[in-house]
Amino acid sequence: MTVPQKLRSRQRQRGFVLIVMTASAIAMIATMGLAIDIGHIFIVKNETQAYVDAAAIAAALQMDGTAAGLTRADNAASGLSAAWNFSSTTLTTPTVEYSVVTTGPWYTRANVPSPSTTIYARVTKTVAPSIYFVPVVMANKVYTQNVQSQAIAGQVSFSASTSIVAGLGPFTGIAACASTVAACESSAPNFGLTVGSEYDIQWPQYNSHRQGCGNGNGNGNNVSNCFVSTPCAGDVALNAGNGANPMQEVVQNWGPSINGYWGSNSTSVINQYILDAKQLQAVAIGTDITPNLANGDKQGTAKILDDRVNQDTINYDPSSASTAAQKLTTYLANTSRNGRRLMPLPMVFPNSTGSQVVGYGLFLLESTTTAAGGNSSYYKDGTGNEPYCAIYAGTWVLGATNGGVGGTSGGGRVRLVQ
Amino acid sequence: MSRATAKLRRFGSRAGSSMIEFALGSGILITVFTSTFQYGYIFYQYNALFNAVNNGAHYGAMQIYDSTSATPTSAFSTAVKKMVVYGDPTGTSTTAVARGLTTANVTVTIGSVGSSGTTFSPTSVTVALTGYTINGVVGTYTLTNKPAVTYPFQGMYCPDSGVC
Repeated sequence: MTVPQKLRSRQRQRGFVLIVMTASAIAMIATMGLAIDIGHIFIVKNETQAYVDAAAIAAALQMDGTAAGLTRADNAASGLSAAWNFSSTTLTTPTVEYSVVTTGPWYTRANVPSPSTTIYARVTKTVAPSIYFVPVVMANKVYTQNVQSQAIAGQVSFSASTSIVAGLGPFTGIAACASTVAACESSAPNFGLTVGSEYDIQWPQYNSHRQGCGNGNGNGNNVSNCFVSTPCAGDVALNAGNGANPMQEVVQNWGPSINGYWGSNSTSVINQYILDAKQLQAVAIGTDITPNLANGDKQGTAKILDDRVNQDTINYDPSSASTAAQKLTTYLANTSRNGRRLMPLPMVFPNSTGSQVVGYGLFLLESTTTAAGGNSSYYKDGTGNEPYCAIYAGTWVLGATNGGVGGTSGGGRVRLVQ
Repeated sequence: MSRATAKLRRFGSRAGSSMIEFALGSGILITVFTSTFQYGYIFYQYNALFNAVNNGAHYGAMQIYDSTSATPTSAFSTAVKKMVVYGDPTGTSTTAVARGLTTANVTVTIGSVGSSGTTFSPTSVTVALTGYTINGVVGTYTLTNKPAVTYPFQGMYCPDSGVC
């Protein structure tokens, strides 16, 4: 009997097709889930990762060792514009945390125990894209999948071998160092200077008679009498103290024709050094810049320095800010500043073996005007004999419009570390 | 006619119905497969484009900016655009990250403070794609100002073009 046998086998096939169809439908939906839902999740992950990367960089650029800097960092991170879900939904309110080291512990802004050493910012953002196909084959159905992205950015110091080819101004900050070049380098990040004090970035004319000039042979010998005009307040204060003394280093080691300016004597080139990021030569820690120290063109540089001040949206110090420290604080508190008044300079140590670069520092150029709309003429107003003073603003962070936190060389840049 | 032969005839008529079943089933299957392919391919392309735009914006944010207005110099914008399209700012490599993507599809927008020419200073770099169509073979998807990525500017400002 062949017919009944065939019949039996056909009858069995009916149910079998249903099973095969069910299995393949599940497989198909799962495949669609992989292609569409997982693909979607990958895109969302990439979008939020780019957002937290940029937000972490924005936050790290603002940190300057103060609580105010952390507030700016929070605002910078949350103020960054980005969108997810195929650039259709705006990303807002990231979680911003701060730490001294990349391994944590991490604190939110209000709980940071020591802003002065906090150099890392961690930004976290979680979004929940909808999933459409995967839930069909799920036992316990969920219709969204949380996607978390996280980035850590920090201020990473320039190493001793980092060659700075652009960005430094053609003046110098004098490190307050007592002994050797090596000891001076390790006095980073501030090299004995006080943030918010005024220092010489170009020294006054030498007194040709040298009357009453102590020649720097010890404290109390009136080294300030070596100059026609009194140097800037911060250097005078260091000279009056018992510690390392930049004025003494300059008097002892620099002749009458150099004053801290390193660059060209031609006005058009000085323009490029002061207003643009151009440098006469690349410098690194340990570079002896003695051969580049030059007379300069005092009238030319004064005018160009004022130009740079006037290129800042905040080219004034409100009259409420009377001390140098207050000027710096009010400047940094003003969010409309564009940073042009801040000039990074090499910190040098004039000594018997030369004038080695020991690190970097950021200086706030002075202004004579007290309100918006005015023109500052601080440097132009001084006579050719007077010093150029600037307010020390801390360490230099490439691209930031404020000082940095610290580090090993007084200079650095913001990097994504994770 | 015995019961057995009647059943046989009924089964015999299945030859036509399987044609119909195949037509219906394959219609659904082809739709499912092509749409899966189309979405998957568009997603894949979008992801590749997003990464390109992200790289371009990150690159641009670290360069020297040498214009005194929010309109970058052609050297700056060309380098950023080439970074997006070829993954290489110099354009030595001429293989675009996505078929048909050209520098004309890339827009570079500079965020700034201050007024042009006098107190201008760049604060951010935004890179976006516009007018590029992802061809998913059975469907297309035209990008308008997306993907867009913004990075805070952390390079150097050099107001005189050609100096730095």
